[in-house]
Amino acid sequence: MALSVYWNLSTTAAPDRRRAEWGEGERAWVPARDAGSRCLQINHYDYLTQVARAAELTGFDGLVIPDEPDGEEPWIVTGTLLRETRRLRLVTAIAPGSASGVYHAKMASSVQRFSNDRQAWLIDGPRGLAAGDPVAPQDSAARTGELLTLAEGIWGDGPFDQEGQHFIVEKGGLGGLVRGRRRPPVWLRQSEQPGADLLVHAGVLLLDAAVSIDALADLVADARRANPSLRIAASLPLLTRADERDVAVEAAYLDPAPSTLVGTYDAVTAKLRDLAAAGLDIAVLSAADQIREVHIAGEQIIGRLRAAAVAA
Amino acid sequence: MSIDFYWRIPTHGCSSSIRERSSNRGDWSPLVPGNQAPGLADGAPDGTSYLDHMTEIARAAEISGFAGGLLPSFPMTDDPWVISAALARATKAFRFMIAFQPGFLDPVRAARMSASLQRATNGRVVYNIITGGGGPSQRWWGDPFDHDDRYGRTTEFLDVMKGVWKEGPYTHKGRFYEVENAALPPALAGEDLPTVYFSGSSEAALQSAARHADYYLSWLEPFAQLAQKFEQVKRRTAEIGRGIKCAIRVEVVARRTEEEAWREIELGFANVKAQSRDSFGGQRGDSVGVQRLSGLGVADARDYRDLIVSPNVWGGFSLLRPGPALGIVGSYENVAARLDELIGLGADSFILAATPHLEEAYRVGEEVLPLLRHQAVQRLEAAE
Repeated sequence: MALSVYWNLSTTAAPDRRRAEWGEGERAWVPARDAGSRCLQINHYDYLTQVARAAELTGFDGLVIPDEPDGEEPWIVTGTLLRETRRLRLVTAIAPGSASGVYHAKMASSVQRFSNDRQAWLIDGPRGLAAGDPVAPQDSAARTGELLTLAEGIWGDGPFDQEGQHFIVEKGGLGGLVRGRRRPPVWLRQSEQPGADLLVHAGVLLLDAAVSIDALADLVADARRANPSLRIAASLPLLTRADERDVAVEAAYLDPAPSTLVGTYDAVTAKLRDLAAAGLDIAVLSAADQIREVHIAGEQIIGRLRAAAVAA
Repeated sequence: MSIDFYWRIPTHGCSSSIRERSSNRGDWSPLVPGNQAPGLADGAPDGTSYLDHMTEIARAAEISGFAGGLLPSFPMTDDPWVISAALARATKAFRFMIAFQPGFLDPVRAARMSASLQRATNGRVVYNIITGGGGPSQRWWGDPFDHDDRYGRTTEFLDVMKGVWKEGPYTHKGRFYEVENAALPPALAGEDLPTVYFSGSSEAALQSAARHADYYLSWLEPFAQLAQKFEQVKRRTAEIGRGIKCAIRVEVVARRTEEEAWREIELGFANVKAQSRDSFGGQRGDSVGVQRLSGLGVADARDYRDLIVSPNVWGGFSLLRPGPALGIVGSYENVAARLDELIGLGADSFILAATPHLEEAYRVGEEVLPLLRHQAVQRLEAAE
């Protein structure tokens, strides 16, 4: 199966953060906030929308919309993109403790109805008391299991009952709201070390830390023992340029993290092919200065992957 | 003082006429003659959804001078947060009055979602805080708490949400919520808190409203009863050193003449099956608002005129569609006169509705609101 390519839509990367933001006078070319007029104002979501559209236009299959503590709230980002994108899958980060189990699914039912079933859920771990989440790390997996069981149970006519430690529902069922609608496929994070009991609920396992090709093959084998239809995704920060010299200049300037996929367009494409051969199904690419890097990745990397697939 | 006029966005389909009870706009009902047909491209669905129709209602309300719209939230409606985020980019000045219950979201998440949505809309978020109708449907929502508990929770929810947003890092350990050094990120924290519309008729609700609401929102009730309720809310709020405004949510049928308006009601009433009349009053739950409206004799009515409560006020709207019983029916002049009367009794804001919501937004905006005697009716910022 061909490698799918997603973009991680950050809302906190430094070069992107202030785009379409109102200035406090420190940058003369940025419009000052005019509280008297709400019309015709641009805001940061105009920029986020443009990054999303760039990903769609350059051939990405989807966006991962993360829940960054200093960033925008992912349900809202997802909502603003429903009618601004046509085809992209939208993988919304979900904090299980942030809503009732029913309300997570209720919001998803509208997203699926409005987007023609393009949402998936990326389940995050516990967020701690600074985010109002009192659940201890050792209880997190049980809570996730309850959430996923409840979401599956009420995604239909019901009546579905659940009396859990974290979520309850009585005579639940979303009925006509979800008839003919796909329940959002679930992505789980490898860093949360999901057990077989959780993997059976999942469609995708996201490897969210650096992984070698050798380790990848083992991870894929282990995960597929729990769930044979599981697809494997990996978070891959990207730094790619046309030739070695450009790569070196950029790397010296950016000082990329060790897990970053660094190299020329050809080298990075070859590395992705190797990962795909070892069992990777989805590459989730990321880089700061997103409007520029989305174009580089889309045109040069996805372009190479697709051209090779067409030639074959 | 200015009066705000909001419109309602129907979040579970709309009908092309108040005469028919069924929703024929929206994708829940099967395709029959008279239904808004799904768009097809080469024989396949073209990707439009009920969101597209809601978008057009919001735009009609915006064009017609309404400040924004209420987005109700019930088990079988689309979700107001998702609708608002999706409509943020399809509208310019329309404010989103999001109905939600504190049991749906935790307060830190609610603060982040709201602040992000304020950023996406340039500050167009308004809350309609509902504490719940109770009974079986609360557990349908996944909410285990009973009536008075829920009002205690609403108060604590709003304390924490405001604290995290405006006083962070914020620490709180209460009966329902626990947070430690919680704050919004700087880009979000600078946004304004949404204006709070608060519903609820019970003693527990009034206590909670006095503490946190900017507007106390009520369905239309018999005018004297409503005036008394508003007076009580304002007195209760003044006792704790705050001020509060009052708002009314009311459906209208406004036509060129009284006769034309009442003909809509006559035909609508005639289309109601006897069994739906008899089942009125079977509404479950522990809502005091519902109890206050019972005893109007809807089940016994055999003629629409039996349900005329006072001049231009009809008590049978709950037969024509789910929701409150009382609404205003009459000529443009008389509907405007009743709204003026309500302003005189203490109303500072209205959420109006009429079926079909798209076309009627134009009619009410163009024909009724300009007739109000009240001089300072706030039309949507015309200068923009």
